[in-house]
Amino acid sequence: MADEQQPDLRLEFDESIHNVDAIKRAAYAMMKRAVCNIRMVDGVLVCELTAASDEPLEGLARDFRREVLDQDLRLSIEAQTEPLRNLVLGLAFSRVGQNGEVH
Amino acid sequence: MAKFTDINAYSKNLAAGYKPLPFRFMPLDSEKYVLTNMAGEFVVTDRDGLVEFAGGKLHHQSPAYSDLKSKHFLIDSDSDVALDLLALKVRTKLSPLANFTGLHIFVVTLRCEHSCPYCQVSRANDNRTDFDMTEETALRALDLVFQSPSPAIKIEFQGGESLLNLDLIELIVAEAKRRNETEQRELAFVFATNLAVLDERALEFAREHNIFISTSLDGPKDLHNRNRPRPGGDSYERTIDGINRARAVVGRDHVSALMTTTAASLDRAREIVDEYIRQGFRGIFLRALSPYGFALKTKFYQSYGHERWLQFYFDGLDYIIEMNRNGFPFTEQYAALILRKMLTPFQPGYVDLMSPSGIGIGAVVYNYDGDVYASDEARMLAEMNDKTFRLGNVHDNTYEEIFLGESLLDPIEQSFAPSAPMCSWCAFEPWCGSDPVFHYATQGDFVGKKPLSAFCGRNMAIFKGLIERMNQDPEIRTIFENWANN
Ligand code: SF4
Repeated sequence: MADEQQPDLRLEFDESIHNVDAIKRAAYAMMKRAVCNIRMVDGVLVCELTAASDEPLEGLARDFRREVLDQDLRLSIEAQTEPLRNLVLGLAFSRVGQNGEVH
Repeated sequence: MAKFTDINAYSKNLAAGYKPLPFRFMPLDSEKYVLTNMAGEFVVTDRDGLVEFAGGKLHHQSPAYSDLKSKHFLIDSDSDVALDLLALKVRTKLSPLANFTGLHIFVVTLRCEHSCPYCQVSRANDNRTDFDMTEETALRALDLVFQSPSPAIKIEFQGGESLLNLDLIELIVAEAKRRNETEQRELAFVFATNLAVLDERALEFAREHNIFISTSLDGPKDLHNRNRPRPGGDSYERTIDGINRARAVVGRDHVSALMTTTAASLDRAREIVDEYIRQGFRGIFLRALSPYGFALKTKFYQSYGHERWLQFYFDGLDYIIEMNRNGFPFTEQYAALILRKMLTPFQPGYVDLMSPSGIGIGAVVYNYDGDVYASDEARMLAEMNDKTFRLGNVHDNTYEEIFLGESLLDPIEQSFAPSAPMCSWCAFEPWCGSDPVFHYATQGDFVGKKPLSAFCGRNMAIFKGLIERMNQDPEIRTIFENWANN
């Protein structure tokens, strides 16, 4: 069934630059302020935002873009540091015995 | 299971630079970001600083470099023990988990002579004993208490008004002490009481057994009496009288008070703080109203949003900070709990701010009828006919069935913050909790959508508010360090 309501904002992100997971996370983080519909059109990720309140749309667009950038950075940090995270957790838990004693 | 690469593999690659250690970030305001590492240590920087650091471009002689290195945000060729130290800090933060369950709450009666409209457990008529815990139930609950691995066990008596069933309290204390002669745990007891029926017998018993007394004080007389109606309308007078009598017998440090915030409190944070000072307390816990029991039924909960509560909280906090600046030491205890997480290697066992969730691990509740609940809030939810967090009954279930059953493990596992959407990338996660009971009560599932959660909104604002304050002013940082270390 077609969605009758027109979105308030249409933001585009180049798929070769932005990770689709970053956009999904940004949409999740901002769900209080807007409902986001994500589509892929010819290598472009299109986010259609419907604001939850009558806040100014420039602010919403700016914050959504900033959130996408932040999420992109988070994803690359996570990928880069994942082996070290596992190593630290391995060290932390390897010294705790079955009874919780530290060796 | 994940395979771990040998530690030496990392040091070989570092001769030319550094590697960021795992960290998360979150905007603090429109310019600054907070970065936290796996152990909850933090730094504040701007976006350029963040991008530079994450991209491996930070100059090794810059002040930011040494700060990040000393706080375990990076390793370089001469950080031989950095990973070991970080692992040690992570382990220290997680170690309280091995010692579950420390707090055992006995609901010895649901009877109460107050009729507070926001009361979070159902009340029952003052003189009916159908709502009293029986001796048999209490003894069976004690069997479970001493099966907990925790070396420190605190038994708290709650109600209703707990002191209306003093006979049973006396029996439980005597029996717990008898069993502890062989168990040798660090054993403590607490009366949670409104003090209205505190008599000499209860006081003498508290003195003899070194029992802590925790009461309710909502603020100045008019506010307290309005929140807590009772026959005679003298709840405040009785509370203050009880506090003074209790202090004289069990000692000042054994008497504490908790406040409940209602819609009527919201413009009066400073007066509430003043009342605590007038009564000689050294701190206050500025609490949010919980969404359970009568609180929800009477629509008090819906009558103000968390934004309004945050104004109340920060008004009170700033007032207290100002007082400390002027040389009067006084603590806001919720901030102190969080600051302990932020500024020390220790992890306070406060149930709401634990992940994995503290339900059943930090505290457990034995209701008057023998039902066991994962937390006090879980019991309140049960009073609203939702027994999702009922873990079993002391008469029907074994320790293993209660503490290793699905009713407890499912919500703990599902709500585990490091794997929950948004919490998994949130810089505040090392200090935060998961509170599956709150999210279940307000959103219908254990995890909850954090962007819509009052729990998340409230805590995130407090984390940011505390960091902003100590970042702006070294004197506040010193005050906060004192709170964290006391
Ligand atoms: S509940 Fe909110 S503040 Fe807490 S870790 Fe999750 S996202 Fe962060």
